[in-house]
Amino acid sequence: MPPLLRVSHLTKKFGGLTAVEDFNLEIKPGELVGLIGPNGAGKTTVFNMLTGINKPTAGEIIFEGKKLNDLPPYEIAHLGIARTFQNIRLFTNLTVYENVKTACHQIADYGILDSVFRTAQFRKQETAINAAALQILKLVKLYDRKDEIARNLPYGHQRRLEIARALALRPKLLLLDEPAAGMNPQESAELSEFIDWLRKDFKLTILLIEHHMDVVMNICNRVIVLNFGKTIATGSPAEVQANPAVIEAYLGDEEASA
Amino acid sequence: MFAQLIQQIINGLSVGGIYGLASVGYSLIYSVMGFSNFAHGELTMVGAFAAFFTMVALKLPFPVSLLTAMVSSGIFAVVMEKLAYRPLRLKGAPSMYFFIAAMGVSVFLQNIALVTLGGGFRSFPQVFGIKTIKIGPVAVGLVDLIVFVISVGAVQVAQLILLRTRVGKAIRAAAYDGTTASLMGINVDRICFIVFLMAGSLAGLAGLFRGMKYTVHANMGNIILKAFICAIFGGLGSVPGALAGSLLLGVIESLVAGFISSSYRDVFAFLLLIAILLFRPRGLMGQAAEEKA
Repeated sequence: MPPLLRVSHLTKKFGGLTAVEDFNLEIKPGELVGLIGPNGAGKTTVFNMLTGINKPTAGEIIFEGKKLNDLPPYEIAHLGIARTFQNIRLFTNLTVYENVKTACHQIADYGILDSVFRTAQFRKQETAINAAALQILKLVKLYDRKDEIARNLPYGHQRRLEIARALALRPKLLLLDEPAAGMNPQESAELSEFIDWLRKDFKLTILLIEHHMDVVMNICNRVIVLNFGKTIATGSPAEVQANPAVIEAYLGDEEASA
Repeated sequence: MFAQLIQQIINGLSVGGIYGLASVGYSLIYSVMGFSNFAHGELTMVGAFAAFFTMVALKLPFPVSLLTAMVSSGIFAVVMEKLAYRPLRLKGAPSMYFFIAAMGVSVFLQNIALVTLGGGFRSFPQVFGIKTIKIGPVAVGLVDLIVFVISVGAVQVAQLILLRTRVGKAIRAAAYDGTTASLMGINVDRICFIVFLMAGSLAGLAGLFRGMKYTVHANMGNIILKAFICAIFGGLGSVPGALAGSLLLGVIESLVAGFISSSYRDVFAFLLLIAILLFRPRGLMGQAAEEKA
């Protein structure tokens, strides 16, 4: 099976700082790959390059055979890459329902004139979009709160809404940036189950940044470890966990800390 | 006394409607692009001249001139965005650069108008005559009534577009967080185009009406100061707020002019601005500024 995403020799420099250096990754359809590393290792920068927010300094990003390097974020979103954020970034001024619909709408192809004259095409698509949005809200168990303004939701619900909004784009590849941040063990276990279920049910391919090791170890097929922008280990969760370089990156070199 | 009061209020509402057309667009641009478009006033001037020449030189009827005002200001607005602001936006320039660019555009357009059209004042042909409608003891100018109705109507249409359409939802999303909006598949370049088109055509209407009520001249872009006050008064970024602020300012100005002296009119307008900034900086309907995560 050809890879869904192929990233080769990806590098990003901010001025004199190399945030990501020679990053390589291949993800096959249906895989769930974890991206871990200490703070500042460059994980989010990888996400930013994959989604077009930061342009790579060097290297190549190929998604379904198409080069993404120079595409604007909205086109990449249309091609089927959706993401969530480490710090939740909802449209907190819109309702829960509207947040999801904003993303759903980008699939619609009626023009502004159709919406003014409420043509048959407009009504048909609008009905389909509303149904799709409501269904997604049911999936993430936010249906009951659909008319609330997003900022009034509790933290855990906002996380779920962000995932719902990303799903509304009907992505092929979903990038989750620390979805379990700020969650207790019980909540993060539930989230792991939810992510695993998403992957199977939506036939999604997922790239996951996470600090909660239990989440990573339970559901990821493969793990990539970054430190200071460099890939220091790749392999199955168990392999990576036993890798001395990884332990050193997380716990620090004994001599240096002595 | 009572009749005079009512008349001043109605006059104020019509002036307020004009402020509303200018301030709603100004406020919309502010909320999506995050800067104060000081050249917004010049867009009203463009619309006023376009309508004026359509009627006087081309001798076309009023509805056509109304359309030319909206279209020409809309086009100017879109070109302004494309040439002056888009390059800055794509470079990710800090907002101060936008402010400076906006001032530059304003001075540029004003002086182009002065050089090509002269500094004189032109008065509009009487479209609705000086007809008045008598309601009891109160005589209401037909122009005032029409200006008020069309202004409020146009602002309502803008508000409906923002609340009810897909584009409107995309605009609100982009206004809140442009980067996230683009990741949700929203083409922010296109959103800016639409916002400037909308804001420009509203400004064109404002220019036409102001020209009809008073005169058309190269410096009429100074209405931006009033639009600015109205937008702050109502709460920056809120369309109903900008309209409410505009109508209130129009009425206050008109009452001051009628019962105190017209030379104090602007003094009151700016006192109001200072008072709002001191006591209620988020305006009548604005949302309290909150930290973005």
